[in-house]
Amino acid sequence: MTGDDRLEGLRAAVELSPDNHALRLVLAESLREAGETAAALTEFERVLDAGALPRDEAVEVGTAAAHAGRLQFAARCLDLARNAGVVGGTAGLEDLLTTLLADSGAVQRADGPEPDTHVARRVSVAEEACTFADVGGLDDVKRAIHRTIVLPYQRPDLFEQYGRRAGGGVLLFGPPGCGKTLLARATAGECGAPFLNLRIEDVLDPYFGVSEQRLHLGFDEARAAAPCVLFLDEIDTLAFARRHQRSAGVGRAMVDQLLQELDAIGANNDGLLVLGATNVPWDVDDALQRPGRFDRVIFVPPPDAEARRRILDIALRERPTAGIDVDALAERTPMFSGADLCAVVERAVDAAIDEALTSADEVPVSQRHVDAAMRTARATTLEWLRTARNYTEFANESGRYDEVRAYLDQREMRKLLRR
Amino acid sequence: MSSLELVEHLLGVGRPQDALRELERLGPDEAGTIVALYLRGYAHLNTGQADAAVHDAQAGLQAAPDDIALLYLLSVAQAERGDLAAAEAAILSALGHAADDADLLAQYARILMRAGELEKAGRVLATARASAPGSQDVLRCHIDLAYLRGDTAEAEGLTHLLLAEDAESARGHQMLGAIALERGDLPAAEQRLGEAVRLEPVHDEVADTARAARILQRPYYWPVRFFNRFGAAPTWVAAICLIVGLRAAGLELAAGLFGTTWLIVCAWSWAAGSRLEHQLR
Ligand SMILES: Nc1ncnc2c1ncn2[C@@H]1O[C@H](COP(=O)(O)OP(=O)(O)OP(=O)(O)O)[C@@H](O)[C@H]1O
Ligand SMILES: [Mg+2]
Repeated sequence: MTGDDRLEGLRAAVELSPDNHALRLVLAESLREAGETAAALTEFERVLDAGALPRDEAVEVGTAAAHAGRLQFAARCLDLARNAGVVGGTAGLEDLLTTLLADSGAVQRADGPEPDTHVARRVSVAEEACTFADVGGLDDVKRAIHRTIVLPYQRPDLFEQYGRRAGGGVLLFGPPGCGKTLLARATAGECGAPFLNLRIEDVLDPYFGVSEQRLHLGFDEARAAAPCVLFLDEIDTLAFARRHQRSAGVGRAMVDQLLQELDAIGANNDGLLVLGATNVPWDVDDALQRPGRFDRVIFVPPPDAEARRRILDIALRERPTAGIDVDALAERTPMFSGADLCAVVERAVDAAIDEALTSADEVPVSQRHVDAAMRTARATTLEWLRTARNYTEFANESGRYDEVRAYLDQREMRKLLRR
Repeated sequence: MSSLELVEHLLGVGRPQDALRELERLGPDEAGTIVALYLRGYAHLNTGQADAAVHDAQAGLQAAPDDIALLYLLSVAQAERGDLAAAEAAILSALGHAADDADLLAQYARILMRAGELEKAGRVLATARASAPGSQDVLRCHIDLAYLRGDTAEAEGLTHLLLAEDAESARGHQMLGAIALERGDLPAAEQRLGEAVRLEPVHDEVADTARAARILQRPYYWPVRFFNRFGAAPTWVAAICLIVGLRAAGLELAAGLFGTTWLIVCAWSWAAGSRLEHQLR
């Protein structure tokens, strides 16, 4: 195969699978080798946008970008290299950038990137183009979220009239890969309220007491933006059950701080809604689930057949396909999580790409690719569901998990969970 | 914040998979540090990849051959792989640098217990207890040793000590549940094992035992309880002796009646046993 053919093949493959960043990276590198710098930089930038640019390439790509006059892009590469602790070449790149910026008459960059003073990341609504329509199935869950989160913002008058206060906490829990994070993002898109994301990596700090301070700051920022939704994903990482903590380290103090913040919200009624999510509810500190904190606990189950069909449709849209029996595939995949289904589709697409690389014709993703992908696929939720069954059977005094119990007690569920 | 602190935190909150993912994102300089290798080793160990953990520990030891924490990790990972000799070698070289370290001694005792060398394990644990009387890890080893020796009373007493310090020790509750089960005290077994499941629901075997303890309390299962309580062999011997005795005494009818009843009880017990199995599946 000549170099040109290879580039063409790669281009086609990337077009077929725009989210395959590894492949795009190969394309970018091949373009660079072929001397097509401008095109290469465009691809590199998209890889960088996706957060998939390897750190050891950051300096080289940044330097090329700087020479091509794309200073903004070069500065981002420099930031990436610095944040990743890359030492070699960053100083040189910085000097180059400073010179070029001075030449271009722009202001000189301050020392290092502008520090991000915000703890909670504000997720703009435009950025979250995603809505409930992008979440397959889960109608009950959507209804519950609509009632407890979306409606209070859209019709505050209604809630006032009925003496129901807007605000408080809602906790989503369920097996991994079944759409909790996706639902939260869709909720942001649905309600049009400001949506802030507070993650453990934004809070955690090795200095004594600083993590708690940062957590408090995050809540302060949310309060200032109220009415708004504050999203705490993987809340178990913030509020790990005390019983598992060996010593009174960061973790314990953080749980206490989180409890304080939640209680303050309950007392002030200031229109701040906290949305939490976790796939290990049994590892979340019990105190978090007491009344007034997260009163609403919503189970996000694995998708049913209807939902699986929707998920597959979503995953396959904008892909060239031919003759895939989505209905049959949905029937064949009980207990597959959304992520499992997406993985099947990805693998099928990869197989189609492999074929496209060696063939002159366009190769749409077809049933045989899917069948091949299904051979090694399996439902990852079963293990979680077994653990959930153990937990709900022996730790459901408050009845908080009645919903899951009922779900697990269904006849076909019991059959599936048999070992 | 450095990513390594995040990795450490993720390991601490039981998310080794996420810790691994975070480690993968480290630059090559940071990924090769001893701390990073150490954390990666634990992440591998906690995701069931003991081979990879051994590899990480060895890589770290190449740069720091005397690092006690790495030697400890290596020992745990080797034991997890089932290579007790390598596990022992690693812990012994760690002990060469810190002979009184209670954690190292406890790990050594665990290896000896797995190898069936209970007496030697006892001596090692005595040293450990002398150097760190309050160590929960050493106490847990002691409990296991007592139980392995068949000294149920001592195991029970020590477990109560453990639970007095840490009322939410799943292992402690599980141990008391197992002891109650041996004693035929089903309600106590159910309560203790249930508590262990509540605290650590991921262990299916514990949950199954707790379920069995619950189900066996139903009236229908009395023959199973009966056999469990007195042991199958002794009850059989007793029953046969009784039948033979009755016949020798000339009480043919009584012997016949008893024999028939005995057969029914046995059949019932068998049916109940297989039904229990079915219910647990
Ligand atoms: N109901 C769904 N509809 C459409 N896509 C879904 C659905 N559920 C899962 N997915 C797909 O699976 C991916 C993983 O889902 P998501 O991250 O929301 O899972 P999660 O419940 O937050 O898992 P975890 O507990 O591991 O954080 C999503 O990015 C999405 O592509
Ligand atoms: Mg998630």
